[in-house]
Amino acid sequence: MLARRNFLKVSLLAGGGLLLSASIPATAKAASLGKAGPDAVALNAYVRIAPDGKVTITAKNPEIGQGVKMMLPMLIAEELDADWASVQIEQADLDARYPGQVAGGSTATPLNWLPLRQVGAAGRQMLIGAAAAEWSVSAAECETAPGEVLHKPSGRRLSYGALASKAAAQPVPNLATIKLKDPKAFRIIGQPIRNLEVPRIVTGQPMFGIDVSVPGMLYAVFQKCDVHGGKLVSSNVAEIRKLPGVKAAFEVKGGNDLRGLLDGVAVVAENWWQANRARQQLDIIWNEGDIGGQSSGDFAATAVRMSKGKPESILRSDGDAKAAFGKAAHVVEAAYSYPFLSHINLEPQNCTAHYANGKLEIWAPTQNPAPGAKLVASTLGIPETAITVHMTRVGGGFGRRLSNDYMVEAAWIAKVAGAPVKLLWTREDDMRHDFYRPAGFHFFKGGVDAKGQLIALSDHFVTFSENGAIAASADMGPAEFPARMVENLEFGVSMIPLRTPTGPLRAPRSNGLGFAFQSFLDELAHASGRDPVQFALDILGAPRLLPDPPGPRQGPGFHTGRMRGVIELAAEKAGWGKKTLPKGTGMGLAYYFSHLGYFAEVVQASVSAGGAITVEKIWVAGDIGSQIINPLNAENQAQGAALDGIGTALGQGLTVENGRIVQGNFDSVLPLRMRQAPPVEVHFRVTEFPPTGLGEPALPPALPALANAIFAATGRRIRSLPLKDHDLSTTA
Amino acid sequence: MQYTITVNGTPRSVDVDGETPLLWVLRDTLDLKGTKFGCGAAQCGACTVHIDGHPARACQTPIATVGKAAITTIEAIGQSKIGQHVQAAWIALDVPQCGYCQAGQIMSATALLERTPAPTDHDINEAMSGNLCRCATYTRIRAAIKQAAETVRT
Amino acid sequence: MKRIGLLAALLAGLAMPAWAQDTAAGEYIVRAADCVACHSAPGGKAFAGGLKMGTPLGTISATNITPDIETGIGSYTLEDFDRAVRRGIARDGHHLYPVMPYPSYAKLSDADVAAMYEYFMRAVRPVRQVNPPNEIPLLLSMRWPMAIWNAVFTESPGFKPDPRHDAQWNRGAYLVEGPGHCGACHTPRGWAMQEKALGAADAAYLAGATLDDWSAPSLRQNKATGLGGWTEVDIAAFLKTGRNAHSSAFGSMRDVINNSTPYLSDVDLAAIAVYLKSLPASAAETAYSPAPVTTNALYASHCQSCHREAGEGAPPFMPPLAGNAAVVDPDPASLINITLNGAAPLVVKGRPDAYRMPQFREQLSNQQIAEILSFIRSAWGNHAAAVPVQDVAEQRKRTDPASDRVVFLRMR
Ligand code: FES
Ligand code: FES
Repeated sequence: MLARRNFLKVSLLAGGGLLLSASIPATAKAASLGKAGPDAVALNAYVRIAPDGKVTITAKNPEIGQGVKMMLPMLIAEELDADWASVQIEQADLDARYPGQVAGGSTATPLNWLPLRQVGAAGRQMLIGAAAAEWSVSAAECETAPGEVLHKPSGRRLSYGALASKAAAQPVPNLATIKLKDPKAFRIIGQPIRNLEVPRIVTGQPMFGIDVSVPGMLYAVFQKCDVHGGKLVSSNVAEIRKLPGVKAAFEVKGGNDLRGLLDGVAVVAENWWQANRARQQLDIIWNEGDIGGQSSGDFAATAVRMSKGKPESILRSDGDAKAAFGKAAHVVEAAYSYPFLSHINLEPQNCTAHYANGKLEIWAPTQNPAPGAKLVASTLGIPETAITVHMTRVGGGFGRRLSNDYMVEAAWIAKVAGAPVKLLWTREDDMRHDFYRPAGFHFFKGGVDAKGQLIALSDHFVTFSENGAIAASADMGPAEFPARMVENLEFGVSMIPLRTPTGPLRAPRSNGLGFAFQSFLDELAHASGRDPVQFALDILGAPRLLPDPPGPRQGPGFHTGRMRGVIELAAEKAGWGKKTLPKGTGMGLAYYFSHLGYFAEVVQASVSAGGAITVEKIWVAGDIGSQIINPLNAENQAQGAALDGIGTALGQGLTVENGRIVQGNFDSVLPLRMRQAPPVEVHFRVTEFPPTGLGEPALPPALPALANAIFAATGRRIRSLPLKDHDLSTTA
Repeated sequence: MQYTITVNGTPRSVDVDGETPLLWVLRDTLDLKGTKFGCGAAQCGACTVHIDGHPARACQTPIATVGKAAITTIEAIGQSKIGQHVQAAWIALDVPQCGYCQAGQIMSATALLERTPAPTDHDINEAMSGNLCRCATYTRIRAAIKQAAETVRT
Repeated sequence: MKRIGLLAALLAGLAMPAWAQDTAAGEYIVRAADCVACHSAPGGKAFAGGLKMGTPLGTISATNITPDIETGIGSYTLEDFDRAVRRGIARDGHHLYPVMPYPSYAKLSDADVAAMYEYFMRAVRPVRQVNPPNEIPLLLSMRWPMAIWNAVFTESPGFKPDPRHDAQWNRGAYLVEGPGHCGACHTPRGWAMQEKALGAADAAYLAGATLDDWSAPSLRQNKATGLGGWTEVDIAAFLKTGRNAHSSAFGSMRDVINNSTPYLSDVDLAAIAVYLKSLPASAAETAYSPAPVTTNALYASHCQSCHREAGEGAPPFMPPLAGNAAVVDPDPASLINITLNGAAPLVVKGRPDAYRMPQFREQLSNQQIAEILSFIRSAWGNHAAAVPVQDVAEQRKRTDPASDRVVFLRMR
């Protein structure tokens, strides 16, 4: 297998120029070893250099606003030593030969950091080889400047364009042994590189899924049961067919998989407004199934009842927590909870599909196209090879579009309608048919000794199950902080059966766990008269790496020194403990490790007598390794993630009532608005660890940092979210 | 019903039900996809256009109520001096993340600067709080508005 | 006399006349009386009861009026039915609470009562659904005071045409005072919660009232707070479509639009309009005239995108606030309610409206809502008192957000 040995292929472009294809590994482990592992896939194109010097680099991953469409090409361009001004970026379709075409888990950086640089370096080596041959000098005497090869001794230079065709004839270097640049020599990585798509965004060019237009396209809406997975009994669809503009209206019998095609009624019309107006006149009788106990109030009551008994299972048990509480000088018990959340991507779910002659073409704003294509193939009963998926720019991911329910709906409707169809959900559809961040309940007990050290902690975590197994993204790991740093610790878990589908939302698990644990730790610090920063540093102890317990989510471990570093940095930048704040104003600290990133945040907030919260400022300190690939984007991501956390904490929470979601629009679920958005200062601590991603890890500390700031400002401890449900007024 | 509306300086005739929101006439009938749909309830601002120079939510503007008003969309906002500066500031500061809200943000920001050449933070809060950015790029939106105000003046 | 004779004939069990076999006539009057609105619970079966109605007495549940023998009215004779509808006395002799608008239904004609009975017995599907108990404090739950209430406040059955007016006016009066029971919401109630007036003769009739946190404006010719500025065509359009150039239906009026008036004939709607236009103003008021545009930051950021800068709205889709009787109603209850909770969809003959008012309870504080509402009540030529923060605070506790979900109540 040639690909396995060389991992790289060079070919001559039609019309001249060079085409560089590579096979790169699909997992972090393989990537960190710098080679294609057993999961490496076939060769695919990454770079084209045309005779005119234009360098076209493929962006293989979905762009959801995290900046990956710039970041991946930057890695290649850097090592290729391309002239950034001559670089064009091309979005790839879904292609099995590209590994890891997924936007999720902040994985793009750790997965691609090495292999894509190797691809670029290989290209550079071949261009040098071609120049050296041309000049009959040794390659070692040649070097590159952006877009050209130089031979300093003779002062000769040749542009990449001029060399491209000849470079295609050069021997293919071995990717694994190729020499990479010294980071000190980076010209592109580490520079504030502007997003090349912004000029198109600010002029309103069609680029999102919702903007796709195909000749002869019709518009569709799909009405499902408000109770997820409810079965269709009957409908007045025949009447709907007679309404203005309606081209087709039909019932769809789906399956039982909440992540696949579900029962519903599709309405297809000449334009979307007509389709949706007609759909509003649907009168459907559903079989909702058993929805007993499926209400937020029931969940809360059940959780409290469960907390009084033994946990159904023990996740971790160190030392003897019970005995340690007896010896503690301060013991605090508190119940924390957080609500279900919807992803509320600003671009509602949509997908365009065209089925003709046994072939299906799909245009989808998806974070995860490959499973989508699989789902479509199995649901429609067509081979995967008959499906083309074009990835559009995505109007917000946040984890919602890791599921591809809208893709299979569009494909099904297009096939039945026999025309290209754009399916578009309303905001209400979107909020009511999500894979929700699961709610969670934590019943904590903590013990601090007379010296102010945390000696015991227990958590009875009441979460949810789906069909008997733990619901998606509703679990907690045995290494949840501060496990491993507290001698006596017990984590127990109990589960409430849930019919509402759940799934990952930006910093899954961490976004809820972070709030609960970091708030409770702050509560413990205050209860024992300790400064929260000192209390945290004491828990962390000496800088060291704590390996992860074996298990499915085993990672590289937790480095206490890196966490200490960001806590100290955040505290320093915020002037922690050094400012006298006015009455009603306070600072809160929280820190969290997720997605390989270490973040500490300080929030300063005030609460008025009338109970209005003003978030005044946020200081973010992060450690994402040795290299900030694009500082311009990094700052934006960290600010956005922190503000996302603030918005979530202030105004978002869903209510489940009889198995359905009550809220439907932004009048009741409140994303952050401009007038609520404080300045966010972002500081990175550069360490010697491999660079990692930034889409998520700055989010989790923001929520508890705000809740802790409110405590500092008012003395009121926030033990549930969102804050809009708390009356913080001090006037009668 | 036949309606003739003026979009970006050009009269356009459309045949739609009078209740149809301007948003869908722009997007589906006239194929101007820059104006976005986010909520359909005047809650997100993604659909912001200018009607006679005022920012308006196209999702809550029934076509029957448009009449002779001049409609400007993101596709043509760069034809105004202020719009051009706003777009340039957005590019210079690399404001967008996913970018979905940004057309609406730019329309609101341009309308703000047309009326208030040197907006304070408070002015910005009031003028921009109808435009949600789910990616929360507010820090940069604020900075870009200030930068645009600056460059228009100089 | 003729009508009574006919009823007597029916009661005697004689052969039914052809019209009675056609349940369409009954359906029409059942629509006009909007029985379905109260006698169905959201998501429940039509006429099966269960809707909980908050009253000053406590919570009263509407009963099952499907022809189910055990739990509904299946065993009612026409006479039983008539006694319940027009006298408020159930078959077992207990007096119905006057939430059931029998003081108005008392004016129904014999023929209409008979037609309604036919409709319920023959066209409505029987539903077995036991009536839930009412939640009324003990003293009030003793039904005997109702007998006294009835003796004092209800008149004898049947509508008495007013010979001073023409047939059209009398038809309108019949529909409004009788089946339409408009006074149940729009007429102020007295010390025993009785409607203060039941017919055109009294100046209190339809002079505006508040029930269940909704203030129903005056339907008299008051220039600012009533229908003084509406033409007959405006009134008919409002009843047919739920909207016109002056206003859109919301709150309790939504039930009327969703289930009742759009199903009436244009002739009847015109008659209602003629009748309402004949009711003199209950107070001297200056007609609305626009005043210069003023602004308010909260209004601008939360309301203006739909109701526009000068409060002119975009009628008939978004109602104007300037010169809107509901806005300047002396009692701001409806205004507060819809701002806190938004509007549930109007569904006109099965077609939901394209635009609806969102809720603001999550986005705005009591103080902010009071400020906005006080502003719109005094801007652009509106003249009404400021809204007290306390009223907003109290209604926030008492009321719930309106659901945006479309609910169809199919009568069959
Ligand atoms: S789509 Fe119009 S404001 Fe959201
Ligand atoms: S940039 Fe994504 S919504 Fe604003």
